[in-house]
Amino acid sequence: MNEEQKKKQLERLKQIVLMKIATMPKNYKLSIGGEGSFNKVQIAERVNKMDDVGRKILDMELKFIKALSCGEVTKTLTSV
Amino acid sequence: MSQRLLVTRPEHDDTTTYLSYYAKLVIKYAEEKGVPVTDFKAGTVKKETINKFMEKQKPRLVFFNGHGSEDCIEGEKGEIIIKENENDELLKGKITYARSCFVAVSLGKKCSAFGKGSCFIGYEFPFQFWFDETRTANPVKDKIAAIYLEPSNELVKYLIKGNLTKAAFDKSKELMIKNMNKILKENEPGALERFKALWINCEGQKIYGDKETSF
Repeated sequence: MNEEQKKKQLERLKQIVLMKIATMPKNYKLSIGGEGSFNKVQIAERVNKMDDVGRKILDMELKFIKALSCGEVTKTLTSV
Repeated sequence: MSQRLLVTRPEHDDTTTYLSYYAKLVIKYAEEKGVPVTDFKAGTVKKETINKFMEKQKPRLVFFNGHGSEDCIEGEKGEIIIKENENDELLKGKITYARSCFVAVSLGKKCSAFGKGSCFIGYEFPFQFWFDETRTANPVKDKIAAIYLEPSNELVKYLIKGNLTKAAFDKSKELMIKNMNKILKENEPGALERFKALWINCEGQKIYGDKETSF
């Protein structure tokens, strides 16, 4: 994947995160260990800024999307 | 080794406050079962005190709550209480469960070398949970957070009951998966995000060392 493709993929990933996070109730916050806790507005800010927290959120999203697409999530869900 | 449960419960932000409240439920359970507990609560989670206690009293089961990183477990406000290659030998011969981010990446793996009777359970991704901001005054009433924190509490309760470390590890994973299915069935706003956080905890929970040992 060249730099241009990477940039596009990152942009798409950001859009996915922002769209999903917008569905969260406003009184919900996500605790991410030592990074702190963030409501949906703060998460969107961090993702747009692409700081450490924003990058961690994108990493987790990517991990999750990959697991969804390769059937790993379904496998986990049906394992009990 | 003494048949004692050591719990650390710093409280200096939302995350540690929630972990502390939930850890208190485990303490209550242990006491009901007649298990002696040493509770290092907010204000007392200091490296020197805890290290001395672990050296002298040798509690068999250690339940850390708080922040962490790949090579350390923190106590009060960033104070490192266990650090790889510095004082990790304190975990030798003990069953350790660290409800902390990333600790399984390196520190946890190191415990594999500690031999029979030593086991480490922790997370290789950030331990994360959604919570309801309107419930922070009483976290145990927060049903959103309970979805994440109850399965991890059950891990320690299962150990207290005398189950093998691997069985306790599997039990908490099973409960996480049940809760994932519950989130999907309820299909409330933000369900997929809530699901994702729990899936990451489930995938990131790792066990190293003696999987056939018990409390």
